[in-house]
Amino acid sequence: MPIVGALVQVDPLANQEVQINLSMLPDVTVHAFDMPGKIAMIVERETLNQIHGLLKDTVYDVDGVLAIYPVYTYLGDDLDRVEEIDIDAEIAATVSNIIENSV
Amino acid sequence: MYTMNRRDFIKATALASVAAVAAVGVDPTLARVVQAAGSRAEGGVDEWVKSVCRFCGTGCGVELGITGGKLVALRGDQQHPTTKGLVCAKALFLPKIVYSKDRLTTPQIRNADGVLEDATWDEAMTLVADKFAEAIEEYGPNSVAYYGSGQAFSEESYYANRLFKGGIGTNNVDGNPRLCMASAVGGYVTTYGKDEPMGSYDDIDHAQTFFLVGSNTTECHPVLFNRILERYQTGDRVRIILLDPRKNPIRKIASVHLDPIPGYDLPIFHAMAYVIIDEGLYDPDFVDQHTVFKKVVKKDDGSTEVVDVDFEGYKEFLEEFTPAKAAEISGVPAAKIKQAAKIFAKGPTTSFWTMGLNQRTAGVWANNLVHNLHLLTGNIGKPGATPFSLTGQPNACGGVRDTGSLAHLLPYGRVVAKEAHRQQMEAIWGAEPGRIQPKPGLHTINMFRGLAAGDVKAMLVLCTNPGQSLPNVTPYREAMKSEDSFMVVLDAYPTRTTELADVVLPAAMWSEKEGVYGMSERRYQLLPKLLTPPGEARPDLEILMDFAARLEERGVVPAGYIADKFETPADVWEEMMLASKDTAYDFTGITRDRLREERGIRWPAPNEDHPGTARRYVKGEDPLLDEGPYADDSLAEGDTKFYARPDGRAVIWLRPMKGPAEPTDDEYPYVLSTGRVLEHWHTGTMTMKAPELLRAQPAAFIEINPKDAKELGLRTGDMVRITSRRGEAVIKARVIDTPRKGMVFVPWHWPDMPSLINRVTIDAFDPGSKQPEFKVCAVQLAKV
Ligand code: SF4
Repeated sequence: MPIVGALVQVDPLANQEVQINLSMLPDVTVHAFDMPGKIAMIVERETLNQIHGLLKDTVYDVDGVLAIYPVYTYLGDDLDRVEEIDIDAEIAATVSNIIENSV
Repeated sequence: MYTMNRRDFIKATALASVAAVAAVGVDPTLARVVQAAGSRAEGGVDEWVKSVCRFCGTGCGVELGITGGKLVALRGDQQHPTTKGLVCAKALFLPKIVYSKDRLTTPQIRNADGVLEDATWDEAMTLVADKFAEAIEEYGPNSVAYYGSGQAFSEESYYANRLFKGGIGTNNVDGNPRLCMASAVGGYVTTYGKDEPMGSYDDIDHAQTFFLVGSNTTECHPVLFNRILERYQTGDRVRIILLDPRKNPIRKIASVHLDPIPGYDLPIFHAMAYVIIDEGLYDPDFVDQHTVFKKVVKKDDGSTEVVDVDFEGYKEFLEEFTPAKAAEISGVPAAKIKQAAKIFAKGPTTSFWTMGLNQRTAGVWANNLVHNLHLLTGNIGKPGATPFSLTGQPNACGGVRDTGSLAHLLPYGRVVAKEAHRQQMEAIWGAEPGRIQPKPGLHTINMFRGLAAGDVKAMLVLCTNPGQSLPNVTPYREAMKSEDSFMVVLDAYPTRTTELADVVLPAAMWSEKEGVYGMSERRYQLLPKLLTPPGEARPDLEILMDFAARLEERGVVPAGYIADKFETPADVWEEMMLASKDTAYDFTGITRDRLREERGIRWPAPNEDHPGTARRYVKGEDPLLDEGPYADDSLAEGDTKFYARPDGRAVIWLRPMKGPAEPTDDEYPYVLSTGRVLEHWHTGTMTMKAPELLRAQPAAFIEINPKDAKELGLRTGDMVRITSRRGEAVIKARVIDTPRKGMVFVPWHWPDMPSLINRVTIDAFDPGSKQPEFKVCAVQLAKV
């Protein structure tokens, strides 16, 4: 299951609208930054093919989207592995929430 | 200790990467998560190693995540000084391109039935060396040729150039940059004395005006476009002038769009110069101190000579190109030309251009005229002010232009025509005196014409696909296929050229071998070897070394000339550094160790302590003005000197109007222009290996203006037959108002025969740069 993190460059005047439209897309989490004009999108789908299709066919067509830069791509097949990690409980509890419900 | 899903860590890392590239803060809790996860979040990745994208001349820095010797992740390199972590959609597929199932893995030899069949390396290399040796012995060194690539590593191009020019003794060395960059080279050399831009990407952050000419930067150089966009959005009153017959996406933010009839833009540049002088917007001091005016005149005996002109003579010349007169020829309203001229003159102005300016029979002149505008207004050598030719290929600059791997060149600004230059290179190479011929060899079109005529008997093609990319490709395909010629092709994939070859040698690619790329802003960057090539594929340099050794054995290259001198790309680099010493390219300070450590270095960098040069020809910034043959202590900090010309002055050229080689007429009433789309790169050999990219742009299309479509009864989706005097293609229509009326646009990436648009394009070329006119030919259109 590849995961791609993309920087979406948007028309600052349409920032809010784009965020809402992008956050309604399946398999996508959107993270708003405090700087208008820049939005992060995390996409996880079965294949890179599908992710690219989403970026090209859907995201580019959202009004106000100027450009998409897929700056992080992970292709490993180990995503379901559960790991022990040395972080405090409070943080661990909030991770999924942030990732899944960024906007 | 808490257990967490690895998926969440990867997502957190992805988000943190995006935030870092966007230069914004993330939610503080998330930041703590990422920090806490630390290397654990990337635990499936053994190591991250810096490298460079394989595709375009922007030269984006990437980091490759390697696990168990496999590439499992890729991210933009945030420490990269110029691209700062950004990558475009093409880079997304670098991992898949490497692991494509149809990689070539075994040498192949064409058998008596015309079928390519597997062979051992020794069988294939013996045949190749025998064929070359036979041709050289029977017909002389000029019966063989090398056709290289702006995608090969610098060491590979340098080595091949050294082997052919100094070893075999032929200047028949050329490459695909002839098809994309040669006019830019011609423009820089005729205006400033030496090739390559003087500015850098840093100038983007200081420019007030961008002049984008014949360049769809949004699709062809997306990461650079982002930097322009950032400047546009954050700078105060930053303006963009777009000159392009096509309404490309930049038009949305351009202050003025000049859309000339393709091939008729020269008068626009002159008219802008006219307005700049007429309205007193030029820089008289700069013109006086740093320029000369020249024109070419015909003598009574038919020969030509270059003569000096004065400023008044230039003004008089421009009277022929008032905005009104330019408007008549170019189809662009005079008011828009005036507006563009005034915006340009305000500056600081950075011009970017690509194929729209270069791929023309007047390509060198068009380049000169952009330089004229910079020189007239003093928009050069200051932050934000520079004329900058962008490259399409990742290593056209460092690999082919700088190493002199074209038919008329020798390394680092030298030319075969100059005895002193030949002697210098013969000494460095250890070649027999007189081995390098004084006459330029065959440039690309003439090389393939030579193959067709039987003058070229054997050709080695490395990392490029002329069977698809040459203009008017049909006769050249026949020549490549002919039993009378012998062609060996080194490539990583089957292509429209390997299908014509007599021997196909499987090559390693990108991260499967080590080498240097030199991108558009003179930055040399090292790509490390991280992966194992598939099957029996070998690095191109290793194949060339094997070839050279066999030619020495057969006596057609002097024994001891090359084969024993190098073992690794680093060995070749040592000699390249030496060859650059005391030239205008001096990179003797760019050692292999520095390349491994640093994110590339921009030449000139004449010693190991030098950080590289953002701006050439400027005292205090260009180290060559401080030491070496170009040093000038009379200059003050910030002074400009175009030291590569004998008088230290750049040339403002008086170039007459020249239209395309094949204007439209009643029989062929439409102009065909070819170009690119975001998802694919060149002949699609690599990007079409990624189904994602193929799916996004699955087939060729022809853009037709709605007015023309109406006259022809065409709708989007209809199949259109495009016919020129040379051939035809059948391609699906896309009715859209991006091309101006009378013009059609076809991206040239697709290899399938019906849509192979280079069967239609023209092979007329610029008399100076020898670059073909891909951007303009006359065609008929008909619904199929
Ligand atoms: S802009 Fe060019 S170099 Fe950069 S990621 Fe895209 S294709 Fe690669």
